[in-house]
Amino acid sequence: MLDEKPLERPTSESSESNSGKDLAKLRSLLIGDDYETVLKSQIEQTEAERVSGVLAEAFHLRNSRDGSLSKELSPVIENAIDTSIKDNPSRITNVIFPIMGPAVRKAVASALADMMRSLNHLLQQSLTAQAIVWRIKAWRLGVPYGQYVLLQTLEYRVEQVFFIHRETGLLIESASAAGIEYQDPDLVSSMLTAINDFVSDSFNSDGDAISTIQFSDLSIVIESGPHAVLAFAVRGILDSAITNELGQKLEVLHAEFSKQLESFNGDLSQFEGCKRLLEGSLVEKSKQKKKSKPWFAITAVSAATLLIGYSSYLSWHKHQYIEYFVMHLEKQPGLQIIHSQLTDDEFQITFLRSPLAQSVAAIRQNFSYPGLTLQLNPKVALIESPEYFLAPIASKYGVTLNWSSVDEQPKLIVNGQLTQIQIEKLKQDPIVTSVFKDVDTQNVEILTPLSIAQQSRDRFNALVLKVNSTSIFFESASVTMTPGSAQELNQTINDIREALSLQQTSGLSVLQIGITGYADYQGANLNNMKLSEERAKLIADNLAANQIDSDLVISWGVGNKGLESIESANHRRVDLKIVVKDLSGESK
Amino acid sequence: MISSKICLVGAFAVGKTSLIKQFVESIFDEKYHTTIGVKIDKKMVSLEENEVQLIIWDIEGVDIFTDLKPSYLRGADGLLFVIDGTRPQTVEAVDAICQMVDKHIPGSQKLLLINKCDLREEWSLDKNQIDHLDFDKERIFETSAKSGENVERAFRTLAYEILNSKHKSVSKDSK
Ligand SMILES: Nc1nc2c(ncn2[C@@H]2O[C@H](COP(=O)(O)OP(=O)(O)OP(=O)(O)O)[C@@H](O)[C@H]2O)c(=O)[nH]1
Ligand SMILES: [Mg+2]
Repeated sequence: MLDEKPLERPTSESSESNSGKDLAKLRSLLIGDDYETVLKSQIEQTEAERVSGVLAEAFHLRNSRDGSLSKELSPVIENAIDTSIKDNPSRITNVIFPIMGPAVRKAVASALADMMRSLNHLLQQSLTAQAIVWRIKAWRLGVPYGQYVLLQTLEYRVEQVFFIHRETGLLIESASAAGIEYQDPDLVSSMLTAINDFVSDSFNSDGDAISTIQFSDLSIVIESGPHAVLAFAVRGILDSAITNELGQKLEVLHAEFSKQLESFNGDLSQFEGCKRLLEGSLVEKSKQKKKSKPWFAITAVSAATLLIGYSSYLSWHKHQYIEYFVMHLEKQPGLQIIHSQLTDDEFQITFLRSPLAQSVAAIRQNFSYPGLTLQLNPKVALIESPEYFLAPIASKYGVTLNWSSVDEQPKLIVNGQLTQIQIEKLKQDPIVTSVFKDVDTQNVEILTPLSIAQQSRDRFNALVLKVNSTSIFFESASVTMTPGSAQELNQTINDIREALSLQQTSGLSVLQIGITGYADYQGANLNNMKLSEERAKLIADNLAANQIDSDLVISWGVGNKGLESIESANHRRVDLKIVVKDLSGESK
Repeated sequence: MISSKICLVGAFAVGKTSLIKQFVESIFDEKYHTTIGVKIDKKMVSLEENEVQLIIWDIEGVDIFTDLKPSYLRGADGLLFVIDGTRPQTVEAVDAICQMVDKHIPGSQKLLLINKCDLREEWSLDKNQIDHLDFDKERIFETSAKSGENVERAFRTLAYEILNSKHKSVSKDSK
C-alpha cells in the first residue's frame, strides 16, 4: 500500500495515453514480478483462507491483552469434548488412560501391600514364637539346628486352620498344630477378610476373590462357602490333597453348623465340637526318608514302598517293620538280598543264600506282622560260583569287583576309591568272609576321610564369600526391596542355611551374621539413620522367619556413613557379613 | 463369649487410628500416619457379667480420592462416626457416610465422636450442623485421643448397646 503512493505523482504529470504504459513500466521497475504474484493471490484467495493465515497470531495478540478469549472459548471447547466423547468414547479413554491407569494401579497396589504387610507382620511374630519352641526341642535333643532339620523333613504341614464367619470376618474357631503359637488368630482372620473384601472391591470380581496368599514358604489357602470361610495356613509345598481336604471340611462344617451360621450373632459358645473337626485337618506329609547307607536291599524296599505311598501311619509302621527286618537279614552271614516287594498283604523277598547260612525256616520264624505273609524265594548260591555275590557287594560299597581263584580258593579283587575304614568294613563283611577266602585291596585308591572335611570346608568358605559380597538394594526412601534384590535375598538365605548345615562336617562355624543398613544422602540425617536401621531390621526379620537362628544375627543402621566410594545409585542398601570361627583355632 | 465387629469411619486425620490406639494400648502419638485400607485390632470389654470381644476395624479416612468401601462395613454390629472438632468440613463427610451406612447396614448401633476436645478453644463447629446429623444426645461423645478423655466410655457404651440389641433380638426370637 505504501509503495503505491509515490507512484501516483508521476501519473498526474504524464499524458493520458502514456500514463498507463509508464505506470506499468515503473511498477515493474520498482516491484518487479512480485506485483503480479501478489495481485494474483489477492484475487484467487478466498476470505477464509486469508483469515486462516493470521488466526494464530490474532489469538496470540488478543490473549496477551485480556482473558476474554478463554472465556469465550471455554463453552465451545466443553461442548467439543462432550461431543467427542459421545461419538467415540474409546478415543478419549485411550488418551487419558496412560495418566490414570498407573495412578489407579499404584493406589490399589499400595493399599494391598500395606494390608499384606500387616498380615505378614502378624504371621512373622508367630514364627518367632514357633522358633523358640523348636529351639527348645532341638536343645533337648542336642541338635543344634533342630528347627531347620524338622523343616527339611517335611513336604507340607497344615499349621493352622481358621473357621471364619463370612459376613463379619469374625473368627468362629481355630486350631493350630502342636508347638505353633500364632500371635492372634482373631486378627489374622479379620485381616484375611479385609484383604478379600479389598480385592473383590478393587477388581470388581464377586466374592471368593482370593484363594491363596503366599509368604515365602507359608501359604494361606482360602475356601469360601455361603456363610463361612475356611482358611489353612500351610508351610511347604501346596498339594491337591490340601485343597481337597479344605473343600470337604468346609462342607462338613456347613452341614454341621448350618443353623448357627445362619443366625450368627457373635455368640461363639454355639460352636461346640467345631475345634475337634478343625484339628482333624492339621495334617502333614513327610518327605521320603533319605538313607545314607546305599544298601541295595533297602533301596529296593524303599522303591517298593514308594509305590504304595506313605499315606497313613499304618503303612508307615509296616514299612518300619519291613525295613528293620531287611536290615537284620542283611547282617546274616551268607545271605544277600536281590529283590524285595511289598504289596497290601504280602512281602516278597528274593535272596541268595550260601549253604552255610541261616535256614529259610529260621528266617521265616523271625517274621511276624499282622495281615502280612512272607514269601521267601531263596536262590541257593554255591560257594563255587562267587560271581553271584559280586554285584550286590559292588553296589553296597560303590566299587568295581572281580574275583579269581588262587589255590582253588576264591579271592576278591577290589578296584575303586575307599577310605581305610570302608576297606576294613568290606574285609569283614559277613558275605565277603563267607564266600571269599581273601580280599585284594592293592588297587584301591585310599581316600583320606579328611578330604570330605576339606570339601565341605571349601564349600562353606565359598558360600561365606558369596554372602559377604551380596548387597540387597532398596527403593528410594522406603523399606521395600527392589524386585531383583528380593529374589537375591532368597538365594542368600538359602546360602546361609547351607553354610550353617555344613558347620559340623567342615569344622568351621558361623559366629555371627552382621547386617548393615545404609540410606542415601537425600532427606534429613535423622530420617536416614532410622531408614537404614529399618532396612537392616527387615533383612534380619527375613532371616529369622526362615529359621536362621536369630541369636546369630545382629543388625544395625549406619545412615550414609562409609558410602563415599560407592556409586550413588547403590546407596540404598543392606550388606551382609558372616563372621566365621574356625573350630581348630582362630576366627577370621 | 460374644464376638463383635465394630468400625470407625470418618474423614481423614480426624483421629480414628489414634482413638483405637488410646483405647487398646493407652498410647497417643502426635505423628500422623494415614491408614491405607484397613487395620484391625481387638479388645475384650467386660460389662457386668458379660464379656464382649470387640474386633475393631480402623478404616481409611474418606477424602476426595478415597470413598468408603461398603464391603468393609459388612456385618458390623456397631459404628463410631468420628469428626474433628477443629474442622467443620469433617461433619459433612460423616453426613455423607451416614446415608450410605443406613442403606448397607441398617441394624447397627451408632455413636458420634467429636474428637480432639483437648483443643476445645480451637473448635469451630456449627451446632446446627451437628443437630442435622440426628444423633441422640446420649449418643454423642466429646473425646480426646490425646488426653484419653471419654475414649474408654465411648467404646464401652457402644459395646453395651450392641450387647443390649443382641439380647433383645434373642428374646424376640424365643417368643
Ligand atoms: N490434639 C489432638 N490431636 C489428635 C487427637 N486425635 C488425633 N490427633 C492427631 O491427629 C492426627 C491424625 O490422627 P489419626 O488417628 O492418624 O487420624 P485418622 O483418622 O486415623 O486418619 P486416616 O487414617 O488418614 O483416616 C495425628 O497427628 C494425631 O496425633 C486428639 O484427640 N487431640
Ligand atoms: Mg488412620
